[in-house]
Formats: sequence, structure tokens, C-alpha cells
Amino acid sequence: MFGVMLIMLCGILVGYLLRNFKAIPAFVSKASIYIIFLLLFVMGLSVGSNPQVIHNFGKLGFMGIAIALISVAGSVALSWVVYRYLFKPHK
Amino acid sequence: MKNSLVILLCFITGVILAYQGIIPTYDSSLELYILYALMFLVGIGIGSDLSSLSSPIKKYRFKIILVPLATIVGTIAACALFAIFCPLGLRETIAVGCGFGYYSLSAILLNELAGADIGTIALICNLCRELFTLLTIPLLARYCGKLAPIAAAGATSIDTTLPLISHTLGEKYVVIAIFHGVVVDMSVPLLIALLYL
Repeated sequence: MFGVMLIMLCGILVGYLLRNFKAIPAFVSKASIYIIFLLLFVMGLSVGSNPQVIHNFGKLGFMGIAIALISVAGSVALSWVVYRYLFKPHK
Repeated sequence: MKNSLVILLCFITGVILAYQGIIPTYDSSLELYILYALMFLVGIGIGSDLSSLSSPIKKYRFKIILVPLATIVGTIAACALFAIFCPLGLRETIAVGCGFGYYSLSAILLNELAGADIGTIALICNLCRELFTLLTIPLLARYCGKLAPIAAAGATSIDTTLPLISHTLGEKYVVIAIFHGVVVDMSVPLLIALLYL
């Protein structure tokens, strides 16, 4: 986590120094989506070569997926309440 | 929507290639370097418009603490409800959910504390949370409020899902996502330790 934050701070510094180049935000947005694709491919490699996940998926996968979906639903529902009443811009 | 499909396709291609042994030597530090590249780009985006860092803090102040709180309470409440139908039991179900997508840590902790089966479920569950969030960030942002992608991301809102959150919601939400990620990240070992006192 700290390594990641340090790298981001370096990015902020570089972005600040280059702030007068108007093309930067569009470039960053475009480049990052392609690197996200690459990240997912590599995450796939890591899952596909992980015997703990691959060998147990049939037996324990369903339970894992169920708890993941339930957790996301609970968090999203509460975040919607927070957003609706405290964050949403009033018209 | 198109991005989500490409993301899913990239992930599945990776799984198949590694599973079939077509890419035999996989170096796990590669993932970290790609993440670094992404975080550098997110940083550049913020740096080119520094007000995106300060304006949300000025605007929302203490309300920001409610975002990670909603994520944590929402997950625990939903898991507690689900435990009624779940053969794992209340404590195990909540403990698995409390990984908040931080699969490496929660799987290691629960392997130790609750045995290999629960550890493996935690690994799969939290991997799925991360993957599911990456796939649905645009949909969540459109239909469930701007905070929904951050809440779904859980602990990953500070690393793997942050670039896509920034891409979808804009730089203004990055500072909220970072704060959320730090708090939820730290809550993972704390909550799991409390559950297994």
C-alpha cells in the first residue's frame, strides 16, 4: 500500500510540473484503460496458475461467489443511502 | 459496457493461458509493476488539476468518514443476514466477507485462524469481489450513485480498482477512494482478529 502511494505521489509531482500541457488528461485516461486491460490479463495468469483456487473452485467456488455478491450488495446499498442524503448535489 | 467486456475477456484469456500451461513461468511481481504504472498515471491526472485533491475535502469534510463506514457496516450486515441460509456459520461468513476484496491478506489470516477450507473460500470470495467490481464500475456509477463503485471496491479502492474509478467517476472522487481504501484496508486484519479473539 505504501509503495503504491509513493508512486502516486511521484505521479502527482510530474503531473503538476506538466500541468500546462492540455493534452495530458485525455492521454492519461486513454493510456490507463489499456494498462487496466493488461492488469486484468496478468491477474488472470495469476489465478490460472494458482492451484489453491483452480483445484478447489468446484467445491468451494459457489460459496465464495455468493458471499462476494452479498457483500457487494450490502456495501452498495448503504453507500447509496450516504450518497443520496449527504453527497448528491442539490438542485 | 464495452470496457467491462474487454476486461472480462482479458481476465479469462489469462486464466486459460496459465491453466493450460501455455505461459509456464509466471512472475507474480509483474502484477505489481503494472499497478505501479497505473498509479503513476492516476497521480499525473491529479497533479495536472490539484483542485481535484482539495475541493472534495473542503466540500464534504467529516462526511467522508461515512463512506468507508457504509462499506464496512453494509458488508457485515449483509453477511450476517446471509449466514441464516449459509452452512458456514455466522462468524465464518462474516470473516470471509470482511476481506473486502483484500484477498491475499484475508486468505492468509483465515487459513491460519479458520482452516484451509475457509481460507480458500476467502481467497475466491475476495478475488470475485475485486473482479466483479472491475466489471461493474460503469454500471454501478450510473445506477447506484457515484459512491457505489468505491463501496463495491472495498479495500481495493486504493489499488487495483482506483484507476478505473478515476477513469469512470473523474479525479474528484480519487481522494475519497484513497481515504476509503486506507480505512477499509486497515479494518481487514482488525475485524478478522476481533472475530477470532
